[in-house]
Amino acid sequence: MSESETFEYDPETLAQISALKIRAVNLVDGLLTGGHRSRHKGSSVEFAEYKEYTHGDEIRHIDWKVVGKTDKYQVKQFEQTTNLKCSILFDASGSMAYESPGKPALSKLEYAKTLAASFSFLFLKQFDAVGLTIFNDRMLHHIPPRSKPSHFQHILHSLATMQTGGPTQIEKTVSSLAERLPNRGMVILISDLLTSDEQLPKALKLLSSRGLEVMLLQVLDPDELELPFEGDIVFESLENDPSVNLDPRDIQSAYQAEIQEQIKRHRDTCKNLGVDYELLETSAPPGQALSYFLLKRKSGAQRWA
Amino acid sequence: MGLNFLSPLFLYGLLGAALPVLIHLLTRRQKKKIYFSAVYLLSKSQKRSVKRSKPNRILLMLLRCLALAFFCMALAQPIWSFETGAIAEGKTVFILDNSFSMRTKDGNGKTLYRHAVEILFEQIERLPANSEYAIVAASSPVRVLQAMTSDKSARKKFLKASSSTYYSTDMGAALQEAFELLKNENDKSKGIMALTDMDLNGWKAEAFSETSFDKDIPVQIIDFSRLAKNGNQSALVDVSVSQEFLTGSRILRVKSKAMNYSVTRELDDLKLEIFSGDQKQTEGLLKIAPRADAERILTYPNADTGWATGWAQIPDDSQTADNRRYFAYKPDLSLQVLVVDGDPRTVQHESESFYVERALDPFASGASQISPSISTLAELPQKNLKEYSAIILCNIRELPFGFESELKQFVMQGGALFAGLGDQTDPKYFNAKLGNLFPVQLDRLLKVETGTESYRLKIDPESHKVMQIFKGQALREMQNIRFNSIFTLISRPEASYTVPLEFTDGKPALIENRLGEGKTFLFVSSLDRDWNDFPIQPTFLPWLQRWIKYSAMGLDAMTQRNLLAGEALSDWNIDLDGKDIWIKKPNGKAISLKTEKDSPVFKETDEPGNYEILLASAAKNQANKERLSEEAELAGMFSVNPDPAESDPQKISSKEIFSLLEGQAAEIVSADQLQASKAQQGGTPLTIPFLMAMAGVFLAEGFILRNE
Repeated sequence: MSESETFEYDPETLAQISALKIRAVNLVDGLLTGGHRSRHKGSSVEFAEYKEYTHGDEIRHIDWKVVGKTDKYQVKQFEQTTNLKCSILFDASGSMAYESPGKPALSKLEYAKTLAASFSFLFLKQFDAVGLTIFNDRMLHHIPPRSKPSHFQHILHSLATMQTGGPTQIEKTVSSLAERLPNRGMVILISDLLTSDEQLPKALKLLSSRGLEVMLLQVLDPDELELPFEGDIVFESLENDPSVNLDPRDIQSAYQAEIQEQIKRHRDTCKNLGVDYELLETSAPPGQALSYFLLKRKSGAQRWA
Repeated sequence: MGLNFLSPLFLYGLLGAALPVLIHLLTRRQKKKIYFSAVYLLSKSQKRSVKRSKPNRILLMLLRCLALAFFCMALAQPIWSFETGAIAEGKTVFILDNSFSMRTKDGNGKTLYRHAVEILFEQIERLPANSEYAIVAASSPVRVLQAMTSDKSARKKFLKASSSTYYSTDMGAALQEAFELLKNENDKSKGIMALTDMDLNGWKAEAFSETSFDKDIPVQIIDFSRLAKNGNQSALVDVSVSQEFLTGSRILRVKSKAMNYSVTRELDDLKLEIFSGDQKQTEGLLKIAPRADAERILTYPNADTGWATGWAQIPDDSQTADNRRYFAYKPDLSLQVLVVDGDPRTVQHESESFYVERALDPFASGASQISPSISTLAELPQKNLKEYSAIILCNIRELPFGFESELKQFVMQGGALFAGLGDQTDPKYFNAKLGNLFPVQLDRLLKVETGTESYRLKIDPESHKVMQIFKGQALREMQNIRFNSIFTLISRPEASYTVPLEFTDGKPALIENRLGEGKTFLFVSSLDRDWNDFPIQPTFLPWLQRWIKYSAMGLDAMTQRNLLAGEALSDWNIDLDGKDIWIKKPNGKAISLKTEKDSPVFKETDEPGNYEILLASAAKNQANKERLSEEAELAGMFSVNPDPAESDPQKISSKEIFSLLEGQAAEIVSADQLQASKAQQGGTPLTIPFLMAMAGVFLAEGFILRNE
């Protein structure tokens, strides 16, 4: 058993895990619960239609009542539900560690962790398999998707013990991960997308091309959107950029324009690739993100039905 | 070549230029550090943003520093000089006019002398490092204040504490002295700078005529006359004190003469005040036409028998030193009269002087305040004429050789000479030798033949103030006096005299002649009984006494010794044997004079006022020569006043100066110009450019601020 699997013995980690668990469970329980339909039909409880028996069909699926009434061999078909495999890609680059000075609200990292935990819980509750991949410029930790309820603890532990640092390299991670990801699964990418490299479209394309349903959640602190600082400030980078000394008021508008431009670019890229994109400010409650997700799933289900 | 500052104190303000830097540093210290996620975006925005905040702020700070620096430098009155100083390296002689006309004040009450000293300091400061300079004081007598030196602070303390003298100016001698100082110097660059108020009195042509100046040495004259508030308006030029006929009257008459120097303005009601014993005794008003003088006699009762001292004064103008004149006067003097007997006899009453002596001092008691002493012609050269106020020549044949000029000197100084004729009189000698003393020549001797009418006096009491008392009986008695022999007179050419007493036929009996400060009288008959019976008449006594007292009016000039500032006192009129002379100056300082020499000279008459002459017994005071003995006795007084010639504010024109300094490289610069633009000599004032630079910097700063 690896070190990470002995989490039960670390009280701090335990505390973090429980806090995360409580937050996630509360969030999910507070929201509607429901299944998500699969595009793949299979054995399920829900009847879909009849079809004539052909060779190869399972005999147990023949509706004997219909045979008795009509003397025709009809096979019951059911809609296949569940068995969705979801991978959560969690950005653990340095920039995710940003904490707004003097604001006691949930930090960006905590917010993202809460989201990841909540999604994991939600999926597991619906008996879907969920996995977690933590990365920065490389893959730091990978938990393959599982659907057993105890898997949640693994995910929580990984989230609680993760360390941030290093630059963001989404494409690199995705390309190395792509082989491992199941086909026609789901990928939820949680990141602040604060990187100077324009690598996101490539990564998303790669994922889409593998038939994966991708959901991109960009988590940003309001500070990162507005740059509300004043005075002569030295900005030290949380990643590996050189530090900058300036008065933020001088460039505030330029910065805001810059970041909005970047967001728009992401939004456009996502729209073109059919990727669900959502910008989440840490000032907004995390529940909002979940409900948005569920709403999307619902409408998606209707669309695919 | 370099930048100089006239008010360098303001340069301390440059420290203020550090203020923006300080503020900048203080705000820097408050710099925050934030760990931020999107730093790459910040740099990107910064690059994108047109405004580059940080460099701008440093630029602004620098601009503000620069503006402050410019402002401080502008206040410090910068000048850009192309030369190191007005005067090239070499030797310079400064002539400092410290005459009393330099006491004239400017509008702020500062004397011209102060201005001159300040400019002198500035000029000395401006001298290049290895230059030497000397200072000559131009007040008469001219003296070298500072011999050639390169020490720039050599006489600074002295000059700072000094004030202008009460002496008059002698520019000619000062220039001569300056040229003398430069004569033996081989330096290439030599120069003379005179700081003067251009008072005409100081530029006497005769002082220049004898001098020979080195034409290669340039003379620069700094003219301070324009700094004076007004020219000198008025001055008291003379004050003298007298008593009516020296009769012991308690009334003192102070005759003051004031001068109006204004060319256009008449002085109406100029207040004249007489002070004595620190109290105002009397006052009066004077009215003086432009450029004219006026006299006024004021009287006041003097209770003291000692020396009457005090001063007359008129209201102050820009030159205050000459608005007060001091006097010292000894009232109630007894007249010392020397009677020279031309025909002494062993029988007393036959002597020529017998009647004269008795008439002057009838009871030998001094009650008449006349004390006659008899001398023969032979004794005459041994007599000190200065001890007498009047000399009566009775029937003399010839004066001792050369004594005429001595007599003339005596009369010129205020003595009285009264001559009576007689049988000894030699008209040839008289006419040949005594022309200096008497304005007439003896013509012929008229003798009354027996049986014919004698000459008689025509008495008019109003004709002369001596004669005023002869009225009634006395008048008739005088008219009855018989003159048997008289000389007739012929006027010398261009002579002017008065005839206060005539004979009935119109022939002059007595002539009165003014000569210098004194008077001469000639009585055409004898002063004994040989030619008339006048000496045995009762009226002879008052007649002679009054004439002697009247003639001795000029005595005032001898007893009142009125010296000009700087004039030496060598003429003591006192018996100095075995005595130490001390002079007590008006400021109370007592100075001992060396009496070993034949005639001690007191030269320190440097301030106006009344000086006391004190005598202490030399034997008693042997032990302590340094201190004035308490037993010293007041032997006399004299007053010292500035030379009124120096009061005259008339200035010499530059044309006249150039003609006096003919062939000399001379330049006249006005002191106010020199003060107004001190940069005139080799410098451009930069105050305005600096202010403009400051304005420019502020404009730039405003522009940058506006763009931010």
